[in-house]
Amino acid sequence: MTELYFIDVVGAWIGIFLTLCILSFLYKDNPFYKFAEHLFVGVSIGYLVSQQYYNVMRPKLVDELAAGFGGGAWTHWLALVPLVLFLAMVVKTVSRKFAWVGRYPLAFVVALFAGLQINAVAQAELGAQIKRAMKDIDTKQVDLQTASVARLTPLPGFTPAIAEKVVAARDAGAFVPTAEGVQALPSLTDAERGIVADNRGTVKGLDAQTGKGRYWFGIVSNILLLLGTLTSLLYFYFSLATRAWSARSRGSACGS
Amino acid sequence: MAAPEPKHWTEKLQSFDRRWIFLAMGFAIVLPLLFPINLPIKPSPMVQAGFYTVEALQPGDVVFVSVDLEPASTPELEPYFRSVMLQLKRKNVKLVIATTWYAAPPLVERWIREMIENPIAPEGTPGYTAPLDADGKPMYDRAYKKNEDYVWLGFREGKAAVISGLGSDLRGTFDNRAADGTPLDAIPIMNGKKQLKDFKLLVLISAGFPGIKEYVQQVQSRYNLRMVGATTAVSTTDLAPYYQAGQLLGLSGGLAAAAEYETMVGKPGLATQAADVLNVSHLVVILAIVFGNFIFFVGRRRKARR
Amino acid sequence: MKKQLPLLLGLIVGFFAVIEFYVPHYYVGTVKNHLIEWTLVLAAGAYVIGAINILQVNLPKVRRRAPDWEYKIVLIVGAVAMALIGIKWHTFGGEPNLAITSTITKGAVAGDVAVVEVSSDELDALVNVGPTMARPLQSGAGSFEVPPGKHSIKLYMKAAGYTEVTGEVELAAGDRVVVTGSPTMQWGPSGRVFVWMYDHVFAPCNATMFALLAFFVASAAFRAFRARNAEALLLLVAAIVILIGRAPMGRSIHPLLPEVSDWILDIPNNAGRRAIMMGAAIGAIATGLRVILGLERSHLGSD
Repeated sequence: MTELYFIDVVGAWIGIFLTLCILSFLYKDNPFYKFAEHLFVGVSIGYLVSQQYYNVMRPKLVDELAAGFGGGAWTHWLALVPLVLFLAMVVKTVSRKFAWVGRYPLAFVVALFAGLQINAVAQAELGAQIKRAMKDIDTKQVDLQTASVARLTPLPGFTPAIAEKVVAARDAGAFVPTAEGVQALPSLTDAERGIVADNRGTVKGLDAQTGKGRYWFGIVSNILLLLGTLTSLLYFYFSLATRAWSARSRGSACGS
Repeated sequence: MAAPEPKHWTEKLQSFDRRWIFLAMGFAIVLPLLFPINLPIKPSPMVQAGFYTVEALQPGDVVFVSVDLEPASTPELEPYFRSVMLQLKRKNVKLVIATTWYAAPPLVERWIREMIENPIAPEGTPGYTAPLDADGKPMYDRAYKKNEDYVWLGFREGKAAVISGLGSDLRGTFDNRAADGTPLDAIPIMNGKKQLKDFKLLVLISAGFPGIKEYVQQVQSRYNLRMVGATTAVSTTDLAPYYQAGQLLGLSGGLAAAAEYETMVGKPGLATQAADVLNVSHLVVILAIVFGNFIFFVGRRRKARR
Repeated sequence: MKKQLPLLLGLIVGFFAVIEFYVPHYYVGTVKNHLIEWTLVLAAGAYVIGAINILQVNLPKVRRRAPDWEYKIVLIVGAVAMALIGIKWHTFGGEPNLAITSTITKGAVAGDVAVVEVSSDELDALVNVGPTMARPLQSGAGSFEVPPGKHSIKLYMKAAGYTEVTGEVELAAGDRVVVTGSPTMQWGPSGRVFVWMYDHVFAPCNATMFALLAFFVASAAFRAFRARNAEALLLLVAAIVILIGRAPMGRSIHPLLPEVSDWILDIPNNAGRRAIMMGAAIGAIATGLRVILGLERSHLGSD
């Protein structure tokens, strides 16, 4: 075991002491908890000021302006823009009379974030989610006679190694294309056979999802998923709750 | 004046000191650590999908790892980080690591020293069997060298904006330097890496905001990125739709999923040990719900009869 | 005008942020990258200003001896101490030397090997010679036999927060090289004291604050989670199934429990979440447009 420096041993005990101070709040509020809480807040403030300065403000503001003063490319002078905006934020904090200058950096940041969010959520949360919600409800079973490794891997009880062995056995013509046939494959190790055996099942397991017909549990689940999504959308957009329903609910579902 | 009616046991229990519940929870957390139960762990489909996506990487591939967390989330996320680093290192995948949380850098630097610059499971590690490569040789991980096998870019503030910046100009966001000041042009694994889409895979370890959600919103759809992630249990339900829609190729949610991932990687660790704590503490919460409702209904029926 | 000009700035910046998504032109991308850079500076600056503000709020409380004023002193002292520790004092007066110095003596060693002799002012420094594992120095000195060739040398400390002193030497058989270098203790965000404070003050407090939630959840489960109606009962049943199913004990109780838990996560949860996401997305788009167009002005404050 690596030996610790003495100061690190002291530090470990300090950590233990502060942990117990905070846990003491479970008994009741007390001076030890308050001390630990205020120390934590204070240290956090100093910590984040240092991190923000050296990781962001120093390279992107101080070093850029220093490079500009040092005769670098004109683009370094663009750092004057965030400098001016930052100073406007400082003025807002320290002066009530000139607090209005703080509106410029706020307007800049809030508008930029708003602009970024518009396209981001439209694509990721509207587009992609609507596309998924409109996916075909009909789910066919996976045909073990023709499916690729990539198609076989997500099946319950399959790993990429098992999928490759099934495809190899299939190509060699020595494979019965059923879940039973997979479990009986001679090339599987005992552990792999165990994984397959663990995931057999006629409702949701390997037996249900493989074959030439339909995967009924999947179809039912997809119908429920679509109905659930539509119902929730109708609830949010058209407030389908009736007065009687609201009266029955009476406040939050789990309120005291 | 008549003596006040003694409180019924349901009324007494409904208002009893909650510190007894805290004590019960405390025992539920401590005792399983002292007396392990060691129940078997079976990986769920989301965890398996993430594992196989990482497993499909080839030696020499370069992966971007975003570690966005704070000390409070390490019990849920450090085991996943350890497991995925073992998985990546034994495949000799190169790593580019960064963070968007201000509380993360010292933690990430410690993990880099412990898990990346040292082997996690070298040859001879008890209880660990390395998987075999295509030639049948066991794949062990090794000590990675800074700026040769991995790059630590550091921290940048900015929430969704910094993630958008990574998507369009990763080098500019980090001022063309690694955290130790080395110019990115001087680091071979950064050759040709200007945006997130230049990486084979993104591994996102996130505890909240900004995190996986912001990566999906800002960059995944726009640049069609391949991403796997790990998050806290609380955020799993929020991110599961992204996995179902194919925007995430795998998702490990919480301590239980981290234990499942450890099982898949083949090196049980902290999460597997802590899974026993999960068992007992969940049981305490369930008993609290059931018992609380039992007292409530008995009390309500008694009031209705009177 | 005190509001109109900022709103105009917001309109231009916001509109640009929306349009750049659809215009894959190099200069548009460059402008966007600059705008993002400025935003990062302002975001970091906001934290710095927030820190100043906390001192602004707490110093008067100490002066006028408000309740709990003694704890405010702890807060202020902690903040100032950590900020001072976070300054890179070791770089004042020049960057520390990160390169080894080496003196090679040819033919000083018999045989087909070379010898590397390392010395350092840090008595318990570690040294890596080539691909070898870390070796500790004994009282600041160490001697290692190596095969001839090029070798990288790294001197460092086992604790975090010290510089690494590195270099390369090329040795022929029979050479002895004396390598000197001293890792320097760093200050600042990667420094020894800063990392010590993070590991032993910030991290334990941060983690324990979050850990308190576990206890309060258990207390809330007993006192507040009541099945007052059918919807609440459904919620609690789902919660219990998920609680059991997500833990390893679920499989031991019944193999179906984790399957049901996964199905609840996959179907009902995703159905509801998807709807919420879509609704929130439309709301975010509407709010974003309102902000950009200046219809939403609450972020600018009142006159």
